[in-house]
Amino acid sequence: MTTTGKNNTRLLLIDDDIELCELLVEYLATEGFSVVAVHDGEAGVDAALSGNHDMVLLDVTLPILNGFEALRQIRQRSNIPVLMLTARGDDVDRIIGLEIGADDYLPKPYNHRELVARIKAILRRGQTPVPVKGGVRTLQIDDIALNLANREATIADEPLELTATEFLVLKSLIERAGELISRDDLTQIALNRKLTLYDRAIDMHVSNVRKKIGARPDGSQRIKTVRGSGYFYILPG
Amino acid sequence: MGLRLTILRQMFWPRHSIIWKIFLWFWLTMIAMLVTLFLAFAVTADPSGFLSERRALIRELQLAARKMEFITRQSAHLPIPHFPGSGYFLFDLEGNILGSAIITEELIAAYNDTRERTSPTISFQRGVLVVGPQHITLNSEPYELYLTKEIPVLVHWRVQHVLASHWPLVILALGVSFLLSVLLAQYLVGAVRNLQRASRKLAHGHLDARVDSKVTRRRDELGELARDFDHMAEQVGSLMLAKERLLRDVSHELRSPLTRLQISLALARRKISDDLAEHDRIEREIGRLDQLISQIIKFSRMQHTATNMPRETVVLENMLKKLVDDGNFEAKARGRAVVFKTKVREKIKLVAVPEFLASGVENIIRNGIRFTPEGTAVEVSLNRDHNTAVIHIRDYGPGVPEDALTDLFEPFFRVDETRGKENNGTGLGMAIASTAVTQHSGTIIAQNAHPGLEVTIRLPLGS
Repeated sequence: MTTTGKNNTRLLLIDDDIELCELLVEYLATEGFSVVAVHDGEAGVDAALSGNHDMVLLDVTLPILNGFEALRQIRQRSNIPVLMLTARGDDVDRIIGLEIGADDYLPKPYNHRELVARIKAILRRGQTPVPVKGGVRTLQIDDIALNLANREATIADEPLELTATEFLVLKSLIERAGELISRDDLTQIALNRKLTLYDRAIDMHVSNVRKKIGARPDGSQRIKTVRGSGYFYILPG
Repeated sequence: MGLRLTILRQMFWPRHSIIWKIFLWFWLTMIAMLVTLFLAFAVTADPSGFLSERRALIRELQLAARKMEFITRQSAHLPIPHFPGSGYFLFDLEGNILGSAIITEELIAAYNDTRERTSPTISFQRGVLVVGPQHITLNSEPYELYLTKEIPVLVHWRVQHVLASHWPLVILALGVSFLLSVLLAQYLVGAVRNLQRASRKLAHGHLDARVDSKVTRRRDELGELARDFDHMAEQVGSLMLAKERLLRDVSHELRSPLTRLQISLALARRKISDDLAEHDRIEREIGRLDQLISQIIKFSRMQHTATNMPRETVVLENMLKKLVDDGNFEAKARGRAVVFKTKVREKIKLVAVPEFLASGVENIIRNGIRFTPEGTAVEVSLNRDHNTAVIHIRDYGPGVPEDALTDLFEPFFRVDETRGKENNGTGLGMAIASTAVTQHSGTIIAQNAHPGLEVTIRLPLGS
């Protein structure tokens, strides 16, 4: 998982443009990715859930199952990173994709270099080794526990399903609980890229996290928004 | 305040409005008809039918008789009856007329009919009124006195009579005809104004402008005109939409082959280890096409979706700083710069579609970077003028010929002479800027700053 060596990272490309897929498979191979391409949503869901891939590149317009429906089915059973390929400028597509649980999006027509950069960013994020303080491999706050070793989360001893991005968002908020984390920093940590102008991706991820963890047992909220600047986890008590 | 103004404008029609003409003509017609009717009545109506008029006439005759009796008591001369308002004639018992020389046929006829009567009666023939006989005794001799009123006198007398005793009726008639005239004018002109409003809206690019349904429901020619207008608007709208859609669809369709081309190029570069100048060239051209396509899509999206886009509060200073930073980063690579010279101390906030507004300003900054000479900087500043935010963006390039300054914001407009050689823009940047500003109710103008071009954006900050 930590290697970036040749043909070690297995990508799943779900796009109905067969010619483009052929080209991408060839091009991404030169960048060290082994790519399997499928051309409809249903086959895409099956392949994504097969466990043979490290990451999914998902187009929105697909036959049989469209991209959103496919993503929804993938997310029911897997937290595999998903990069959504949306039509440029279509904010609604972008927001829906992020809401269903896509990790990031790339507007079409994308530049091939940008595509590779984005794939690498998602695969490599969170891998800079966090200095483990005193051998502690779990983060604990309120009734939430994050296991940093296997990236599993629990809330009130129940398993909490989080995507890799959401896990990173929640982890950084808890690590620095009570402290404001800017949207720039959060984007850098969770998506391993720079925040662009009017980029709403990070806000969607925080909103997803918020929905999943809910309020504290006493009804008070856990994550506070500081409009326009960032977020922080409110310290308990 | 704007609302109050429109209400005022609707209450007081403009001086040259057709409503005045219709109203005045109709009212004048009604008044003229009333006057004519009254005059015709005054000339033809027999007063014996009206008690009050009969009494007034007989009283006038009796008054004249008493005056004459009084005068003869003072002097022995037989007076010639002469009182204002009527003609008086004195007959002796033989039927000779005394004094007066002009005797009308109507008087003779009336005299012959009535001389046997003991009390005055009124006869009315061909517009001449004769009242008599009134027996009077002057110098111990019996006489008969007659009163006549001829047409002009009669009409005058009757008008005075009516005005004196029936003035509320006159005012009522004037008032009712006034109201009716206003209603008629409103009925006709209201529909026309409504049509006018719709056509103006359409001309301003609101393709959904339609005539009010209360006009289109009318079954007269105005209603027909309104329905025809709506039909026309529908046609214009669908034509415009079809044009836009074609442009957008073509652009969307072009993107897939372009992406494939881009990746093929990347593969070609991998396979041929030498760096070919042609590859660079192809890549540059692909980049240009890509940019053009995304600008077309952005432009068409801006024109059609701005009203449904979520608006939020934008701190203009922050937005501009970010744009200047990004622009400066790009400009540095080419030996130019973009600087932000704000003079504002307070935060200027605006409710806007941030993406569109930023894109508009960004395009102008980009334009400036393209034309400002090496070693100079594009200057961006932000000021507040009362309730308006003013953004200036100035370059030190060759400027634009004066007569092209307004065309600058048209899509695909190019100033060939001065800006041709260096021009590698899409031709849509300024049009996008203009659309973005207009959609925030602002104005955008370009002026030559000698040297260079200065674009000024003014955005109302709202209440």
